[in-house]
Amino acid sequence: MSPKGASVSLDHVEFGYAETRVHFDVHIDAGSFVAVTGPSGSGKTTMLNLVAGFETPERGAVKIDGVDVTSTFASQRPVSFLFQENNLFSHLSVSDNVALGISPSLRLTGDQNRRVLESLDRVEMSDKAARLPAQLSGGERQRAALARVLVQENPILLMDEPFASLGPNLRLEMSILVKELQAEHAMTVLLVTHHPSEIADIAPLLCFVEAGRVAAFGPTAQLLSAQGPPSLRQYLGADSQIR
Amino acid sequence: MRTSVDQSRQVRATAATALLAGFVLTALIAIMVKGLPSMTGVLSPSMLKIVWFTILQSALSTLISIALAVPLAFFLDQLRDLPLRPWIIGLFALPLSMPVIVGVMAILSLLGRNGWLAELATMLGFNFKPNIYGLDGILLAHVFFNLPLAARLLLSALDATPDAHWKLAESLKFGTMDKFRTVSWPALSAALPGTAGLIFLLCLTSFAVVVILGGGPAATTLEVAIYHSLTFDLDLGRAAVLTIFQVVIVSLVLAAMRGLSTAPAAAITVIAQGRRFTRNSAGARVIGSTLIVMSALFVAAPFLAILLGGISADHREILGSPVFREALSTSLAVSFCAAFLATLLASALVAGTLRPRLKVSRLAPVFAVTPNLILAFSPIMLGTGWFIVASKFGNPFQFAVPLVIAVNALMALPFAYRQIEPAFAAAALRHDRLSESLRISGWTRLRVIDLPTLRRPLLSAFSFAMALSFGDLGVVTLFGSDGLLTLPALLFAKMGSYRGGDANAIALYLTVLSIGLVILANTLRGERDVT
Repeated sequence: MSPKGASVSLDHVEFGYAETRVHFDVHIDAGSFVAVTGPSGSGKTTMLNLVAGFETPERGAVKIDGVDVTSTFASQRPVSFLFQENNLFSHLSVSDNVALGISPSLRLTGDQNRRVLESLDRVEMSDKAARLPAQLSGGERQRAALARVLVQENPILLMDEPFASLGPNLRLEMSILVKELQAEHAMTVLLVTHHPSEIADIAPLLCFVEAGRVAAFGPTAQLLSAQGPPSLRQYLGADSQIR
Repeated sequence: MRTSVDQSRQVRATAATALLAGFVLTALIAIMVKGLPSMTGVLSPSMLKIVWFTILQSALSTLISIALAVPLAFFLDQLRDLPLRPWIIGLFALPLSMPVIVGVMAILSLLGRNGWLAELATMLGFNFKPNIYGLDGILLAHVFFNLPLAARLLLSALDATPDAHWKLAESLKFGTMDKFRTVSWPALSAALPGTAGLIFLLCLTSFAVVVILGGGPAATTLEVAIYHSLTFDLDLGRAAVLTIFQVVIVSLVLAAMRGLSTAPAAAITVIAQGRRFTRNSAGARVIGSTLIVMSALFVAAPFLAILLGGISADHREILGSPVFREALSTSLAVSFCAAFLATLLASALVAGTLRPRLKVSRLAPVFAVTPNLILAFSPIMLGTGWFIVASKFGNPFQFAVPLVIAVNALMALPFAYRQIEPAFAAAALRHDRLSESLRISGWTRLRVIDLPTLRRPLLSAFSFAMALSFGDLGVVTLFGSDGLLTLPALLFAKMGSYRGGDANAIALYLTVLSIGLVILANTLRGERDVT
């Protein structure tokens, strides 16, 4: 389990859906942890979908580690995805859900089974390996999904508001876990979030998306300071919340 | 706190339920009273043979329809970029609105002894005279009607799978079989028991298909045997015993369906416009496309046969015929009255389930389940019961018109209920408190608030119910006489008398009018004000 991060570039990427158009031009270094934030409908999820390959740009290029993957299918990109919900298949046990990250047919060798157990152990879910998703709490379900991310060994992890439905304590706990896993595996992480605390606590870099464009990108501390863009401060609300 | 509006709704719903229960129970009691004395010797070989064939043809029809519908729905769900896909899904809705007798006639004109296939074989120098009477023909017709229904119900279930699962499937590098097994099958398997139960029930109580294609005592179902007992043998006792068998089997199926808790959704409308975010291999695309195209041709061919046969008929002669005009006007009048009654009953029942104040009535589940329970009682079964009751008061045929209207209304009730229920619920949520605070109630509320906002869903339910009643060849065959001749009954008679040209024209009119009414119903429902 030793994925190394990969750089991500969106070079003058243009894309349209319904009446919204996005234009992204941004480069993210390998191994970075970036919080992506911005108003609803600004294009945050679209940015992740473009990187993952679920959307195809009309113009521009998506590059991973400098390689143009614009026309590469999602299944062939080195990317793992964590959604807000529905990360697990409800009829499969936790261990089977994790095993899907290694083999969609669920035919695993002894070594592969060991990898599944190790990853479950890492997210403190090994005692719940046989349970069905319905028997887990919201936080446990996201832990199981994170275990699958670990066995996938992809260098890029995209997370679309993965902790939005969790309470404040669980959200903090999960944020810390993600931060640890990112550090251990040097993954490149893009985390879409609306929570100022998550941005400030775990993401060294911040990407502020507004009206389909990257309005600001840089060190979180700098962007959240008094010298940061006013629109970002206005979006995140009271300064006390950020602190 | 309950308001006068709540009380008025309760009264209406209770009255409707009592009326329906009274109508059904009267028929059942009449059957029991007539049939129980004849129960000795009911397990005769001929009787058991009828029961066995009824179950066999229903089981095989269901099995074939489901076995084909599962891969069909899966590939329709997957191949969203397939050319004409929305049209094909639309095409699959047509058999639901096509009068059954017309579908059977179309199948005969395609695959009958003198059908297109036989003619084609003759042209090619082969002496091929297919015989589709008997079990083969029944299965073929049932699959024609139920494969599209099953495919749409299952497609609707697949439509509800979350986007995240498809994105996961792609990022986890699922192949086509992996997607089927891990993402689609759980959704399909949850919908399968309800879908299969519904189709089994439809085949179990199927009348027009078996009466025309059964071809003799070897291929007779309970429904058709009841009809023969009443019309040819004039044996009310035997009809009653057969009806009791029918009630028992239908009740067992319903109990099993209820135990499985998987009643199918009212998937008359399938959207299926979401995205799947996944790719399929070239092999899977070829297999899926072939299956979809073959199924589309299987469903479209009978419509084409009706269209071509109907166009080439002598319309001037048909339209000028007094018998045709009488049958058309009778059909329109009967179906209009049945649709009005069905809509009225559906409105009353829906009213009892509305809960503007969160505190729902204890009887609300009864009102909600009543329309579906009606499906357990076939038109022939209800007709038999009321035939027995009516015969106590003289010639039963003098009650033919009100009884045909009543039975047709009951058969259309579940569908009318599903058409209006969402709109009524939304309107209650939106208007109840406001109307109450403004003290608008009773007739004023109906005129100023309810009718303007619920006009479209009500008309939609009415059109759908009218389409169902207009094409029905069920109870009218029991009461059919010189005094009551509907268009489906006329078509049935013309088919029997080998008036091919006339039958083609009548089939075309029936199809166009029925489908037109369903399109009108869907259009009205799609543009409704409230929901």
